[in-house]
Amino acid sequence: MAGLESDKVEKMLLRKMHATRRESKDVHYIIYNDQKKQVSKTRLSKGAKHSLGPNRVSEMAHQLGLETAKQFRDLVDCKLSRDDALKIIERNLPPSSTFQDN
Amino acid sequence: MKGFAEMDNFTVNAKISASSAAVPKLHFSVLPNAKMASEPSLISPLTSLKITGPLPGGRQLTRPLDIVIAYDDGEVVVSEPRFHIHAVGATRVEALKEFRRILSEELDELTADEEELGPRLQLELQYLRNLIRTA
Repeated sequence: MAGLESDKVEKMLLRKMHATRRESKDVHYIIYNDQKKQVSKTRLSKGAKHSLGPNRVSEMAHQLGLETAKQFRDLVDCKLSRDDALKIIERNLPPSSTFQDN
Repeated sequence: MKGFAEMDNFTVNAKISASSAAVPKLHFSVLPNAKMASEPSLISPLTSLKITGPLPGGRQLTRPLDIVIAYDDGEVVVSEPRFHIHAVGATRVEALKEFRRILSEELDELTADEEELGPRLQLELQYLRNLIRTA
């Protein structure tokens, strides 16, 4: 599966998901729900537009709490709405009972 | 599998039926990562690893952490499988160094924002607090 361009991903995070942008060594994008709670976050490298490979896209999708990389692509391609994405993210919690295991 | 520093050594008699006491011999060595025409590659890229030890800021991992290594075109992606905290680099070494930095930074950022975290990020903070010990 092909990758995505970082500028399109940033546009999706800022304009569509209304993410807050913070800069440190990387750029952080924090997504809030309507109750002003942080629901998920991800990062992009600083600098000029670059290509994100399929493995990186998959990691970003799952880090945000989406179930599949396709849902991430659908957000970028405007096939998935912010509300539907938030519903997926908020129901897709990792099981807390396994945190001590590895 | 042999380590990188080890070489396979061969000694070949150049003259098998020699009656002379001083039989000339050829010596040659093959590095283990050298590719032979008919031999498949012996060393596949690593796809998983356990990491231990120090993180930036004098921190330590409290237990070995399973990580996944994936390869995009010209980029190595290192991640942990629970919350998909990940890092990238041009090489595996660089990506692993970035991963350790990002793990430590995530703990700081989630701690600073603790009051406004939703359930997912609260779980991530709990996970990182269990995983990372400040020396």
